[in-house]
Amino acid sequence: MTFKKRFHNREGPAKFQQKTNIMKQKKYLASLMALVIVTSSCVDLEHINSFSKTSVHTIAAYKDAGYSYTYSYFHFTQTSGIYNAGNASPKKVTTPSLVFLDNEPKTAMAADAVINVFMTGISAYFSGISKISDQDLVNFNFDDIGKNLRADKTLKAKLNLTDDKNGDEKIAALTKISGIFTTEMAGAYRRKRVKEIMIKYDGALALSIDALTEMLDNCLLRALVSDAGLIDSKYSILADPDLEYSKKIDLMRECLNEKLQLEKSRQQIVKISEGLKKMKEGHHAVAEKLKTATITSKEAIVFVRKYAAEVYEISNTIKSIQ
Amino acid sequence: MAETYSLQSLGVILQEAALAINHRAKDETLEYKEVKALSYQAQELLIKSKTLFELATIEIGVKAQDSLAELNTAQKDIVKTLKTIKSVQKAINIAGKLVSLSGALLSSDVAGVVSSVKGILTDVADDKAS
Repeated sequence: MTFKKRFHNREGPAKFQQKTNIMKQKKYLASLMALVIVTSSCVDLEHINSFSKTSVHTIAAYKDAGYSYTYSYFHFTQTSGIYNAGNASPKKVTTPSLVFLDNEPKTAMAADAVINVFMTGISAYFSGISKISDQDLVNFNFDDIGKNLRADKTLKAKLNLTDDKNGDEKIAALTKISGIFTTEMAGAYRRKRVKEIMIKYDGALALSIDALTEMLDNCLLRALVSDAGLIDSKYSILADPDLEYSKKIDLMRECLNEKLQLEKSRQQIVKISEGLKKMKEGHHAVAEKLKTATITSKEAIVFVRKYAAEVYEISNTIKSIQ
Repeated sequence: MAETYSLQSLGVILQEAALAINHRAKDETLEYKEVKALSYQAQELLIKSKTLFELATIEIGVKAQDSLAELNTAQKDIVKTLKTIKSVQKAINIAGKLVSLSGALLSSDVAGVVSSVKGILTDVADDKAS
């Protein structure tokens, strides 16, 4: 005779069914608790969040640099000839005139728009990663359910939770476990999605950053060198032997300020470009690691923290230049 | 359209020529008139070089637009993920109201049923709208 039959014979089918159900429930609860414990042991996504947030801040610093093609056109190109006709010379004073070019500032604005589109696209990507990995994003609470359950005597009676003290304690425990469980499940989902997205878009991010840094390094910073040259040629009036010494001092101060401001912008753009390259490098290193490791693995965390610290350092340097 | 490299390198050539002229203009043996003439030439070249750098920037952007478009599709994945997570919160909120509804139904509290149903319908409508 099998165990099932013996059990069946001794206690009756109803009792047997009841015991089986209890066992099933216990097994189910045990699995749930095991899952909660396993997922709770996972480290959160704080490191990814920190890396993404710092990246967003670094990109945002581009606006603070205050240098663009459009600014360059209005500030340096248009005013480049103000001393050409000897405007500052005591012997010949004429009204200063601005330099106008065909298709400008249209071309300058179009070039700035291209840079801004890439800055925005890359920033939006990191901002998105930052949102998914934000610890505060998931804070599921079942307080309302518990509150409504506690307040409803009819429902409590139906659920055999009428014993005031024990009933309320059971409800409190239930809502707490439900909250932890749901939050951890959502956390596992977030970790999975962040990993998938970082691997999937690593190539596109790298190419977009390459294009942007090429625009900054080989074009915008080059234009800035041209502007430094324009400052030199604009202030060639300092070579005028008839210019009063006091006027020369004023012009020298003016020239120096323009050069200083330009140098600050140059250093900021250099650092932003450096930061972008570091973001690309960090993202790629982490994406490669994630192909074989979990996002919460020690190796992956060490990688992300390393790059987050480096990008943070660059971000701080940019701020200090302002 | 000219190649990016050509635009950039032509810009650099003009710029270097202009900077050499500027350097020459600093020669103290030159007459002021000569200095002015040299500076003017340098300005012309420098302004032209900037236009070339602007055009090169646009060219680089055009070439890399597919990568950026692909990166922008990441936003869809991110929004989808956020929506899924928020839906769970919504479901929990609705569940809370369902508890009230169950209680109202069990105790035959008509006003309570109406109020709970209204609350649930509002939540569902909000969820659909978001």
